[in-house]
Amino acid sequence: MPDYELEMFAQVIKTGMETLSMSAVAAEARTAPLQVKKNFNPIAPNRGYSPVIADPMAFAMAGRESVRLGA
Amino acid sequence: MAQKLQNRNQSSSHSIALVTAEMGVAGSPIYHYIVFRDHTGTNRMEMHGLPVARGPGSGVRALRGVMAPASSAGLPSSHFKTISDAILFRGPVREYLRKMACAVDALNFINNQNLNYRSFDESGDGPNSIAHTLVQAMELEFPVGAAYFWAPGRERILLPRNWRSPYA
Repeated sequence: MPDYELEMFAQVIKTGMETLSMSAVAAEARTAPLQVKKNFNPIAPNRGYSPVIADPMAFAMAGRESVRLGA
Repeated sequence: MAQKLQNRNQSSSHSIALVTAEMGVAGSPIYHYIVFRDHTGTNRMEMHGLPVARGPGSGVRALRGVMAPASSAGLPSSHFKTISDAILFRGPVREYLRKMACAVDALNFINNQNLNYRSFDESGDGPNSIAHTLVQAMELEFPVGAAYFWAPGRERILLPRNWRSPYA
């Protein structure tokens, strides 16, 4: 009897090996628009969650404001 | 693949480790990464956080997580000196793969955020943030001993609060 959970893990890992390989990631980064702010906060405490990402809604809004195509 | 895995001895002990390496001479900044080992203790897979170049003309690098088969050579010994290798998890292959799937999920999430890496910002997100985030995504404990070193960005978690992989 197939073990569907193991199949699922194997598939996730196999896909990850492709999409998260150095070559795939480097290619993606070359074309990704520069995000000009928001994970940079010089006064943020060096602890805990990234202030941008801790709140998904805030991050989504920040992302919309910060992406500058061609920057 | 799953059938082969199922056929393996379920009690065999796979492991996940956090490797801590010094970049340069003693007292230099620390670099953390994650290693997945099989039941023989052989390194099988590594997950790293890396600064990656953006397109031409962009002076700001992207922060990304990568996953790759373990290199037998390890990190370049001319630049890195491994000073700690802490086992975070040891257990059956099913749980091992579950945790690896959670880590893959977290890496995809992190990469989708299109984060920047600025080396001069010691309080900002960096490769060590990715290592710590992966530990958290796999619901493991960051080893106390590894926290004694100067690892810029280590204490940043790059996931929303309450984020949990569906594979967990």
